[in-house]
Order: sequence, then structure tokens, then C-alpha cells
Amino acid sequence: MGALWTKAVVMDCGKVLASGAIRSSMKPAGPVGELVAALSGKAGVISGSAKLSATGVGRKNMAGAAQLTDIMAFSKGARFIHPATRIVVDLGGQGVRLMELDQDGMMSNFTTNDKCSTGTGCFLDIMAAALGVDPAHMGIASQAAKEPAVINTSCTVFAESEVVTLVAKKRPKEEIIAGLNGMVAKRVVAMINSASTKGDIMLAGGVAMNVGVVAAVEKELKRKVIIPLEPNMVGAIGAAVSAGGAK
Amino acid sequence: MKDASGGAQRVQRYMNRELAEGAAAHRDRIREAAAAQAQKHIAAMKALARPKAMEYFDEMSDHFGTRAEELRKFKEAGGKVIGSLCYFAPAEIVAAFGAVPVRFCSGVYEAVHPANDLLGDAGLCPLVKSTLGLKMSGASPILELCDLVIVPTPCDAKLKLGEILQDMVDVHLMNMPAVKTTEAGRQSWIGEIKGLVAMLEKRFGQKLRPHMLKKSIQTYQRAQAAWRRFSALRKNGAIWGRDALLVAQLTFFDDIPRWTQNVQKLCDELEGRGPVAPDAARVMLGGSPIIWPNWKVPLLIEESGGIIIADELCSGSRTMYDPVVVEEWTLDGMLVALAERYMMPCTCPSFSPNLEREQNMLGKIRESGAEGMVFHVLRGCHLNSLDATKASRTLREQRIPMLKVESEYDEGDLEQVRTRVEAFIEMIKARRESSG
Repeated sequence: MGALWTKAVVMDCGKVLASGAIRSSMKPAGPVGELVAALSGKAGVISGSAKLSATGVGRKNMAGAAQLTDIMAFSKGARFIHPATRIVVDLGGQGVRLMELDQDGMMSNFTTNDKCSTGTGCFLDIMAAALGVDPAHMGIASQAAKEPAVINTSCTVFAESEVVTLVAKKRPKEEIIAGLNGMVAKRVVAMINSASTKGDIMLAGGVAMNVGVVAAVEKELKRKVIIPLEPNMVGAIGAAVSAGGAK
Repeated sequence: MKDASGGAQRVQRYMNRELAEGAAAHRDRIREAAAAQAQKHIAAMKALARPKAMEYFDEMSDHFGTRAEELRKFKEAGGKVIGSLCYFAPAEIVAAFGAVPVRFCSGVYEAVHPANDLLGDAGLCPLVKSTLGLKMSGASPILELCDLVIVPTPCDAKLKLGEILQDMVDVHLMNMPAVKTTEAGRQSWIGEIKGLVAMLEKRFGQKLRPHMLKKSIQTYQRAQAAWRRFSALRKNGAIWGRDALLVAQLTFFDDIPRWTQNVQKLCDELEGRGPVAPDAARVMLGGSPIIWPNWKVPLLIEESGGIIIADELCSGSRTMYDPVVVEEWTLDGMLVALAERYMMPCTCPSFSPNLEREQNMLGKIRESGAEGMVFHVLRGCHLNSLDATKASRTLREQRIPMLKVESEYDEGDLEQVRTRVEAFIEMIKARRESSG
């Protein structure tokens, strides 16, 4: 139950049977219940017979569900999807978090962005709005760029005015977008580099669906990173894995 | 402008009438907010299992209650109340003159506002801003009783705080060496201790005699012994960390012999008791000072399934843990012993190389069986933020989890910090299960 989106998965015997997402709301219990019921129907699971587990900022609204923090859920989800994962970075709606896993897949450390929204889904949404681009196209659009624009500031408010200035100077949109994606990537790479764990890196969260950010991260790191099939579902999968009793 | 005691004209380099009036207008709100904050925390602490002997500390923790009234009467009868702004000013010396030493680093959130009016966004830590605001507004009855404030200068913020306070009250600065491993550093600090004595002798019109200082040192040695007994009981988890920190906090302004008695009483009650929360994650708390009533971080840890069983805070364990070891009961011998006690074992991040900090952390973690460490950094406290990096490296080598929590005094980031603390506690418990 993230800051912007609420995601749900139905799992059985180590398989994801159904997944879905809705916008997070102030009173989540009703809509989330409907989402879970719909997904259960899709997966052929009798509603109410399954174990329910909730994670994310909104989890405490789900009475009756087992609870775990999003940080723990991401580490469990990443381990489930790719057991050799040693670093997983969640690029979420309002937060960027890095979890380090040890050889046994146990979380050994985590860091979060508690000061700044750069690199989050919110940040990219605001920039997309300033550019008049669909947020979902921010990744594809940047791939046409000849040369990424330089965005100097990382503060959301100042970056927005920089973007507006670049637009006024007739800089092609794709180059501005490439600049923004590159800036997000730089922050992610800085977090990864400051972690002492080495090994397979997974990017998760909605922003990991942005191919521009992923390409820029891989270029900076000079290595491939793992992108799950549904990057935005990693936390939900972790919660489901935990409900199933796995470590 | 005349000062409160009607003394000589003060040169005001920072303050002016407008600021003083503005700050005074904050006074009642600061008092109300401080009292409300303290009451809320005390109520939360009382809701859990705790020894009956804690009632004494609850009562004395009230900045506007019993102790303030006692000190007011003491001063009316001709007694002297002397403030200090840091752990480093030896209370034994002040007490040897028959004066009452009080330490008034402030943990009151509302008090930062008058300081912001004066300084704007100077990037200072909330402790320094709050302390300045408390003096500017006159909101603390105990602070207003101080005729003099001793300000050691471990960091830039405290140095300048000492400078600004001179607009409002007599200040004696103590120059702290940043390197204490050299003979020059040690000698310079001994010089500061002797300078403090000379200043007080002049102020009180009284020579410091060996028997006066000896009696005072012995009073504090008894307090230190009581605190060490308490620390041993505490690491078994027999008492919540938030209660233990309150006990330590009262050394700031309580009557020390009475505090000692009450700590012993508390220990008698705790003796033989099992842990209050057997399954809780055992946490060591370190970093920037946690000053009552800014109980945000301790409460978050203990509301999230943890228990603080040890700390290395200058507002906690460090206040009373180390004994003063006197080789020779001559005046010089005692002053050197005090100088060494307040500087050598101190793990304040103002020192470099400060290897003892990591050793002390590891030692305390091993001795208490802590499963992880929360390193609290007040936003703007650069020295602790830097030491956190070093601490995380050291602890990682030993495979001890550490969480750095950077926070302000206000509760704006409460839920954000809560998520991180909860994840940290979850991680400790998950590791415990997988290794057990």
C-alpha cells in the first residue's frame, strides 16, 4: 500500500496467480478489499480462505492482515524473485530505499531518502506534467535523445523551473527527459556505490519500469541490473511470501 | 540594558529590544508546550510496567514544578545557581563552593522559534536553537535563576551559543581541545579547569579549599557508583530505556545526594527482576544527546518492538558512568583527576581521532548483549553525523546492524522515522530467528 499506488498479488505454492494496482486513497480498506476480492476471483481462490498480509505506509488501515514494513517486504520480494539478489533498490512513489541482503538472503542493512524526493515517482510525475508528457512515456521518450540536457539542481521545485527554462529555450523534450532520467540514475547509483554489499542488483518500484532510468543506471554502473517482470509488485510479492511463512 | 540581576550595562551584539519583546511573547506558549509534551510522555511511560520508585523521577522531571520551586527558595536564601551547557563543565567544582550546578541543554521544541527569529536558518542543531530560545524567552524558571552560565566549546554551535548568551547573562567559556591525545591538549584542558576555579573564587569571594572539593567529589562518586549499579540492572532489560534515560536526565538539575538515594532505591526494587519485554529487540542508543522532553526517538524504538538496554549519550550513560579517580587528595591532584575524568573517557564527536568511541560502543554492545544500534543524529549536528559513518563501518565489520536516524525536535517526521525504526527492529528479529 504505497504512497501513490496500492498493489496486490495473489500467490499460491510459490506462484503469482494474479496481480493488480489501484490508486491509493485516504480510506483504503474498502477499495483494497474489492481489489483483493477481484484478484482472488481471477486466481480461483475462495475469498477469505487465504492468508492476508499488508505492507507499505497504508498497511495499518488493514485490520486483520498480518503486517510488515515495506523495507522488509522488498527484501523478501527481491529474494523470492531472484534469490541471488544482494542489493534491491525500491524507486517508489515518494521514497527511494536501498536494501542490502546477505548471502543467505537476509536483510543486513538499509538506507532511505529521508530528506529529498528526487528520484521518486512523484518527482518524475511532476516533471512529466511540466513537459506535457504522459508519465508512462518518460522512459521510451528519452531513448530518442541525441544528448541529454544537463539538469543542475536536484530539488524538485528548482528542477521544475529549470525544465521550464529549457523548454523555453527550445531544447528537445526527449533531451530534457533524458537529462531527468540521468539525474535520477545518478542518485540511485550513488546509493548503490555507498552500500558495502556487492553482487546482483535489482531495481524495483514503479520507476524501475522507466527504461530510460534503467539504461542510465546500467551505463553508470557499467553492469546489468535485474528488472523483475512487474517491478511495481515486488513489495506486494514480499508481503505475500511473508504471509506464506517463508523467511 | 540592565541584566536581570541589575548588574552592569551589557553590550548587546545580537539581541535588541524588538527581539527581546518578541521572544518574551513566546514565553507562555513555550511553557505550555513543554509541559504538555512532558505530560504526554510521562503518561505513555506510566502505561507500561515500571518500578514504583520511578514516581520520584516523574515528579522531578517537571521543569516548572518541585525542583524549580526548591531552587527558587534556595536562591532567595542567598544560594547561588550556576548553569552549564555541556557535560564537560565539572559539576563537582561548582558544588564545592556550595552553589547548585544545573545543566540546561534544552529539549523543548517550541523554544526553537525565538532562536529562529534571531538567527534565521543558520543550520544549527535544534538543541542549540532550543537552548538559546529558552534563554531569550525566559521560559525556564530554573535557567532564569542562573547568575552565570559555563559554556564549554566542543562544537561551533555551542561556541557561538556561548557568545550570543553573553547578551543576556554572564558567561564563562571553556576552550575545549579537539585533540586530547597530546600532552599539549591535556595541559590546555587542565588550564581551563584551573581557570574555571579561579573565576569562581573571584566571583564567590572565597578560596577553594581541598576539603571543600574532596567532599564534593565524594558526593559525585557515590552518584556515579549508583549509576553503575543501575546500568548493570538495566542491561538485563528490567526497566524500559525511556525510564532509564529520564533517571540520567535528572542529574542535570536534581539535588545529587537525593538523586543518588533514589537511584539506589530504584535499584533495590529492580534487583532480581526479569526483563519487562523478553521478546523485544535489544537496542543500544547512541549519537546526539536526547534531552527531555524530546523523547521522540526512545519512544519510537520502544513502541516498535525494541528496548533500549544501553546508551552512549552525553545526556544518558555518560553523565555519571565514569568515576573520578583521585590519586592524591591535594587540590592540584583533585583538579587534575577531574580534568581527566571529564575529558579522557569522553566520546564526544568533537574529539579526533576519538577511537575510544568505537571501542566504547563495541564494549557496551557486547557487555549488554545488544542486537543492534540506533545512531541518532540531530539535524545540524555535523560531528555526530560524521561519526555515524565511522560507527557504521566498525559495526558492520562485527556484523552488528546499525540504523542512523536523522531527526529534528518537531514531530513532522515522526511517521517517516517510525517506518525506518520498525523495519530495523523487524530486521533484528528476523536475523535472530534465522540464526536461532
